[in-house]
Amino acid sequence: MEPKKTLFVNLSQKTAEMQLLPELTPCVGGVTLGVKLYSLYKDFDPVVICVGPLNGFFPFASKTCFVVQNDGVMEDLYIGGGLSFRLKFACLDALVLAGSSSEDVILDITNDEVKFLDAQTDLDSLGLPGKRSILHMKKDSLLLDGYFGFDLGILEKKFLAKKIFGFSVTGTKKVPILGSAKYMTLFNDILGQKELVNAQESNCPSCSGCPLGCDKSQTGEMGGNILVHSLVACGYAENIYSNLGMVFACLDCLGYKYTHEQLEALPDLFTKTLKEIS
Amino acid sequence: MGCEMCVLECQQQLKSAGLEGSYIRILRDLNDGAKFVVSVDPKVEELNIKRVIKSCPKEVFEEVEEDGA
Repeated sequence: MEPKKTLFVNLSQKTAEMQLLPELTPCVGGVTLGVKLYSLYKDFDPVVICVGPLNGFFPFASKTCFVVQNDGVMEDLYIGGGLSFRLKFACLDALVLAGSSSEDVILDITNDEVKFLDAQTDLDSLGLPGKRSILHMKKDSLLLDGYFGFDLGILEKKFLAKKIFGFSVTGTKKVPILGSAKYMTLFNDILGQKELVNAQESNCPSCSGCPLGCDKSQTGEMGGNILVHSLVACGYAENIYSNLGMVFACLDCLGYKYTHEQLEALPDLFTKTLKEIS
Repeated sequence: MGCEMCVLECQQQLKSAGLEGSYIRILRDLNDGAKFVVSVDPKVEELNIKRVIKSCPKEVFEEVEEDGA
């Protein structure tokens, strides 16, 4: 398996570098990857943003994971919208925002390139339409793609401290689907299980990869099932993505050679990493 | 409504995943996240249109003849 790709952004020094860390491979993605990256960079008090291996490929794998420390407690938060697709198709597993900027800054990220722009920059001018996702501060609230947000103000506090006014992520990479027939069968199987999702179909803006458009999408999620959140699937789709056999098949057809044992060990890995942090 | 299931469908027919080169793009309005513009490349005709239409949970797409009939 390829090592996880982390874009490490040092806000203090205004630098960015792509990191390939083999020790992250067992983490799969999402919350497990996020806490591991936090433990590696805890001196920077980072905001870690992660996707999982199924984002961009399978229905209901539609959230993006944020890991931060808040008043001494590790928090994992999940936001909807289109950010997971953009990070995935920037070929990033994680984005680490480390340190603090000396002045308000907007980040313009295209694949692994980062521009540090002043806070007056017109966010609408950034990235490529249809291939970008924009998170920005609006009236002291962070808003993704003009709609999706978080409750509690945890991320807002962090972004204000780091002087991040917003960011745009554009993903322009294309990934071939190798085992196409198997992939399509699994895709349609999962799509056909929408009655298992604990959310009602509605006419609200939808997260990328979710056909439901439920009224729960606007506010994010917090905490929950470690396997589901390592995949960064929607928490309301837990009935689908807590099925280890299904998850194993999805990962396998995308070329991820995790064993059942590795997937079963994710909660222990998560707990062990939390202990390392504390 | 932003689900981009049509984007997935187009790319699947091209045996790939991604936003690059997709024949359909969903443009979101930064000031009003409930508004969307659907941009369709005429090359979508190369694909199985019926499957693309079916992929949309909100039935946004409609197949029309070239003369608009």
